[in-house]
Amino acid sequence: MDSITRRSFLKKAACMTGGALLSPGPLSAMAQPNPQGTPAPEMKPDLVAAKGEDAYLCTLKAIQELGGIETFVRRGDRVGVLVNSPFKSMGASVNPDVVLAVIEACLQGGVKEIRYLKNPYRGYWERSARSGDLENAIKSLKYESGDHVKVEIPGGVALKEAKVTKDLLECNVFINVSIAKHHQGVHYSGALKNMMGLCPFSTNSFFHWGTLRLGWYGDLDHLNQCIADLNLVKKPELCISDATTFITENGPYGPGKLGSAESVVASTNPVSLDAFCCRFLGLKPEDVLMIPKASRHGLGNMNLSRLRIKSLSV
Amino acid sequence: MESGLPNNERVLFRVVLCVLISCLIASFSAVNPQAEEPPSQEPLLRLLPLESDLKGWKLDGEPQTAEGMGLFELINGGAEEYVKEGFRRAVIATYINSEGKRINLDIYEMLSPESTRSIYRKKAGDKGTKVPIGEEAALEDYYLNFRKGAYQVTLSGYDTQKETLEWLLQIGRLVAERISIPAGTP
Repeated sequence: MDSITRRSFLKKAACMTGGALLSPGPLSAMAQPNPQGTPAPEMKPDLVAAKGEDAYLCTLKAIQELGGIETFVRRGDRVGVLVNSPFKSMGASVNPDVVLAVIEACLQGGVKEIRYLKNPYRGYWERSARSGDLENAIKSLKYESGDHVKVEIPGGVALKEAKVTKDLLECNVFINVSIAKHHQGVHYSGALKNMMGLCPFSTNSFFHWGTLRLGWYGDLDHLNQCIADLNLVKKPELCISDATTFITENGPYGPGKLGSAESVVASTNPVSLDAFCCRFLGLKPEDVLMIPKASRHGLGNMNLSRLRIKSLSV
Repeated sequence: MESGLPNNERVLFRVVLCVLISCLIASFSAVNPQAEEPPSQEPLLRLLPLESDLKGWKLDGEPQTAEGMGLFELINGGAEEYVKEGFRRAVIATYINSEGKRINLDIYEMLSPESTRSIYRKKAGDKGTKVPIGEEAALEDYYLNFRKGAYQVTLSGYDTQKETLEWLLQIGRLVAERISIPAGTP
């Protein structure tokens, strides 16, 4: 008979314990939660699509379902919001009610300052019936400084450096608020494309003309790659997409025929958000080159079947 | 012939040629100092309807202008089609009334009436309701496109109310009246 040493005893004990926990036998059941007990907390969704007539309420609901604003901001934070709002035509800029909901939620969350990273067009806030009630929130915003700084993009494929607004780098929380709309060059403009709003004309020109091919959209592969690369500069904590009313032609500037999905969609990454929202323009994620390119950068999952998606009505 | 020159001499030839061309351009600019000044925007701004012609409406802020490639800074990716078709300059303005309603007016001066016809087809297509403004005009749900001579004009509102559409037409007619077509233009 083999003598039992201290080492062999520990080995056998470890094997028996591990086997018991991994096997589907009666012992392993002890490791499972009691089916009669308190259910495990529901996993947070990766993406929330809130549908309803009131864009403000839809936005608040989408943020709440994604974990609440406290998941994204803390008291004393400096928040940068990048909103696609420089275009005057209907359906070419984010519905201001969506932005006001984000701003109000952040202020309720106790943030110290909100930087508006790309100025809106004149009269933008007046497009919202809530602008009067939320006048103080609007007045509290700090707009573009106009200063840009050069940043390195080590993981960039086509874009190795870019100039971006200095204000972004002074914020510790970044929220990307885009509109799902048509774009004549890249077919779809959403959260990923919105990042170009951080850059001056000189950087954006490189996106378009960097390979010296004729035309603003002469090299779409390069343009889409640059957009994907630019998204490596700073990953947003929260991404919101306005799909209430949007242009389905003549984008990004408009005017053009309008589409409406009466939806506000929220996610923690721009890839999943764009992969979901491009459907409103009749597109699949792979039709929008920047989406797979950004996905390959590890910026988010474009495979919708692998996402926890929560759709709800408000 | 240049092609018969050895490589290093060919490079030298090209450098000298570039320097000569640069000197020529510089000397021309020196004797014609006005060439460096941007053309006046006044004639284009004069196409904007006067507030006195628009009861209850006034300009909302300063009109914005752009020339050539500057259009990309003004309207971003929307500039591509205009530049491709032959764009010269633009003025963009917004009018506001006492109720806070706004109407946007974009006037694009193209290089030729042919350029204008081409951009109009892209912007308006065969859609919308044909209306008698300029040489060709189409009214859509909340916007109006028309062309006259070398000018492509787009007006847009923020709703589809009848009153808004009436104002789009009224402002459009005023702009069309202010556009004079050079004699002999086909």
